[in-house]
Amino acid sequence: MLHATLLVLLVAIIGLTPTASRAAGKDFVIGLSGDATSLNPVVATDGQSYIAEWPLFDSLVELDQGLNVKPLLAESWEVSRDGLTYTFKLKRGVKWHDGKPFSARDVAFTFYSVLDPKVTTPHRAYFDALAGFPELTAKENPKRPEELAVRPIEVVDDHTVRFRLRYPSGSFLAVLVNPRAGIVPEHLLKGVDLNTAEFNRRPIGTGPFKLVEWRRGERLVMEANTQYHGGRPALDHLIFRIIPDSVVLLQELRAGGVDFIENPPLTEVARLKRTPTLKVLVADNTSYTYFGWRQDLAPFTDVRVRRALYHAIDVPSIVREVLQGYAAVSTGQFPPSSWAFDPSVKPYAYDPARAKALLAEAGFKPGADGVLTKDGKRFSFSVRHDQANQSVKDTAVIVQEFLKRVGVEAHLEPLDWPTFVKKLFASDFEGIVVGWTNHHDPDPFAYTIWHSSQWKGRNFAHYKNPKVDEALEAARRSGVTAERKKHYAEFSKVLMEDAPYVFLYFPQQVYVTRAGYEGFVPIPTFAGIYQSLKGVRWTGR
Amino acid sequence: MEPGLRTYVLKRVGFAVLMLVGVSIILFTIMRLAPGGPEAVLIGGEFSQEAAAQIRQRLGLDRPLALQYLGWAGAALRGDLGRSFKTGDPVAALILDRLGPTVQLTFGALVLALVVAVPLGVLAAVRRGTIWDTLGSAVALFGVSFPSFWLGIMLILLFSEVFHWLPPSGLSEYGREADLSARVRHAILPTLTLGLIQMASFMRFTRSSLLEVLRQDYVRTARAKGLGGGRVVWRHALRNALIPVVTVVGLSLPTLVGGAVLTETVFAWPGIGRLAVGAVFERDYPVIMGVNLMVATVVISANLLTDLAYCVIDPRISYR
Repeated sequence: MLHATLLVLLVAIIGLTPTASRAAGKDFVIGLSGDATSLNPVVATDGQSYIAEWPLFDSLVELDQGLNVKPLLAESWEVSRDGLTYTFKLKRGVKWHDGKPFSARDVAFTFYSVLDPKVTTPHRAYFDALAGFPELTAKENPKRPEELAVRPIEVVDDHTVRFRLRYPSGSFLAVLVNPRAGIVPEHLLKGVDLNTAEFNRRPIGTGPFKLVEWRRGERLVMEANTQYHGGRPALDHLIFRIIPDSVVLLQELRAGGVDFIENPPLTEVARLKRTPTLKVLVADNTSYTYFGWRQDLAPFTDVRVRRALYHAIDVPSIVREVLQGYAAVSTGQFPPSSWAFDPSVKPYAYDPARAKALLAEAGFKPGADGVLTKDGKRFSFSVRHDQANQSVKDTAVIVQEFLKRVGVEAHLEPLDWPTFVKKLFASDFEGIVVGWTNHHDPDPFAYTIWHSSQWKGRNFAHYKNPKVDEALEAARRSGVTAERKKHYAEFSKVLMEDAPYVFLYFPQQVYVTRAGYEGFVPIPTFAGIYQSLKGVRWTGR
Repeated sequence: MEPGLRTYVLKRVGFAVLMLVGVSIILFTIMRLAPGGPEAVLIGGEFSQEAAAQIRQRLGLDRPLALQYLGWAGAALRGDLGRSFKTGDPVAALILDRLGPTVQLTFGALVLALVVAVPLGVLAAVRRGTIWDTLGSAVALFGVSFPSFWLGIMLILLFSEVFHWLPPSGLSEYGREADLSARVRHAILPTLTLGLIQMASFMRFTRSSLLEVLRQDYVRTARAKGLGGGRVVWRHALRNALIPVVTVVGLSLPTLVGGAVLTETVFAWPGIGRLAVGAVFERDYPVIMGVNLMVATVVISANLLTDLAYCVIDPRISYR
């Protein structure tokens, strides 16, 4: 009797029916697997922070789906004939979330902060072209902007800001976009240590949404900025819920607890596509995954060996099996969506016989255990990779199997991410399977990964080829896209000839949303779809 | 207080403090022996060696280890546990923020486990060898055999996906934090997951302990005096049988906290467990130190209080 009463009571309290408490179409809930770190675009570096910053901050310009630059906080801009001066006219009447007016001083403050060596930011190198860059960012005794003969950033008036470059740069406009170049308010951050500012937890931007609440590890809540210069967003609230387990995230989507998730398990996508209440969105990306090795270690110093490894691996089958087809086979540094992509560059075809022949040519003979040997040394090396990334893990296993078929032995060494990256920094590896996030402009990553001056930068594999250096420098110092395209085509061609990596694939970004929400623009860059949240609306269909 | 007791208490407190210092030194060292470092995570996808060096310098990780420890310990003595490398939040605030959900979850699971396990244990003991006993043992065996992450996901599948009764995850819903029924609905599945696992061992202990007590002379005497079966079990036997169970409950606290780590991750429950797991994966040293120090303090204090309570309660224990 007592038990029955208790049960009735419990059921009454809980009301065992799921309640759809949210106003349909007004509060949009996005499920994320991890929390943001910092909501300050100058210092934030991780993907989750980039995603959460996007609705809060505006950059001077933004990208369209064709990766062309279009106005955002800037109304228009002029580039001088010599390509060394960019003058931006800023939109009038733009207000910060705290009601203060936005002005050209905020723009200058933001980029001087990026250049300030005291500020820990990975974005500094993108502004290499700015006048005075070496002096302002010097490790020893950096100069202050007022000490320079030519000011790199000049506030002409409240609504005009001018940038001066030291060489014409075709990538300059492209690096001024979100989420790496959001503008921050001078009136709240002047004289404050940007690395540790309270602002990074309670940000004030000019973006379409304002931060209302950030419960660490639980959720971020934003509300529509009714004064937004681009018009009030259709959604009232954006709620980012942090749900680490991918299975649970999927359950939440099905149960109605979230309206949008990214990167569902790829094996689930076919089923999700068949669910009438859900919609699958796919966006191309700039990131690619590769199988690489130290260029300066034998036998990888021999180009025949490198090409043999390329011939040994059936990349399309990896795309099919591991990525379920949600990826493009990579032919180098640039994704097919990039203007720098050269379709005439082809990867080495899967041809194990050719791989074996090349290895034999390089002096390798089959050993007693089937593994190739040369001068008494077996062709055996370690391949390190991140243990937590499922597709990378699966890829590494398949690569190992393909190598085995041509007599090459790879030992897989799965490591946790902090350990893996630390070894990468120290160039402490033989082989690796990992990815580069990349940038929608070719310069920022191509230069720092492949230029021989960057062995302390991102050139962990110690690649060096004067022809590549030359092409990258020429492309960097040109403001004309057609010319840059020519240099990058040369770069891509030489790179493929050298076969410094087996460039594997560009994985696509897969999103699932509740049917009835419209207005997503899958911009083909990392997390680019989040730029379109300001235009997302509920149609109910 | 007697002088003997006072000396004993002082000695024990001094020992506890030394133990905490020892724990903190060992923790600090072990943490740094783990490969990798926080810079990898802080840099995100934009890494370069130069940026990594810059971050290590800013965080003070380029200084000798002993100096880093002394710096940390000095601040900790003043009540400052430092700031998270990742978010810049004060560690103490992060811990306080997460304490509530974890206490709610572990306490709820403990109560649930006891409420179910003790009667089941009694039933199994009293009806020893019957179907009830076998059933109870089977339930217990299942309970200890389930890993909490698996059990959690199965419960979500059943109650959210199939029946649509309960929300799959989270602590509450935005805008409904004050709504008690919503909070209870969110708490049911994680509490059940954590509770079921504990239930098993509590039930087994109750059963075996009660069986032992039921064989004692005084129980036989009570029965001989004509007391009813129920009265003998509930009034006389169970009370004594519960003493070892209470000890097991006390000892199970660390297990509960350990289970909470996984349960919190599965159910996106913003507690200490998830904080600790995240900090370990991100090498967020100040947070790892803070959480572990808090746990160590709780355990050492509990031990200290138990020891002191023993010598106050039990006259046979001398304090020299």
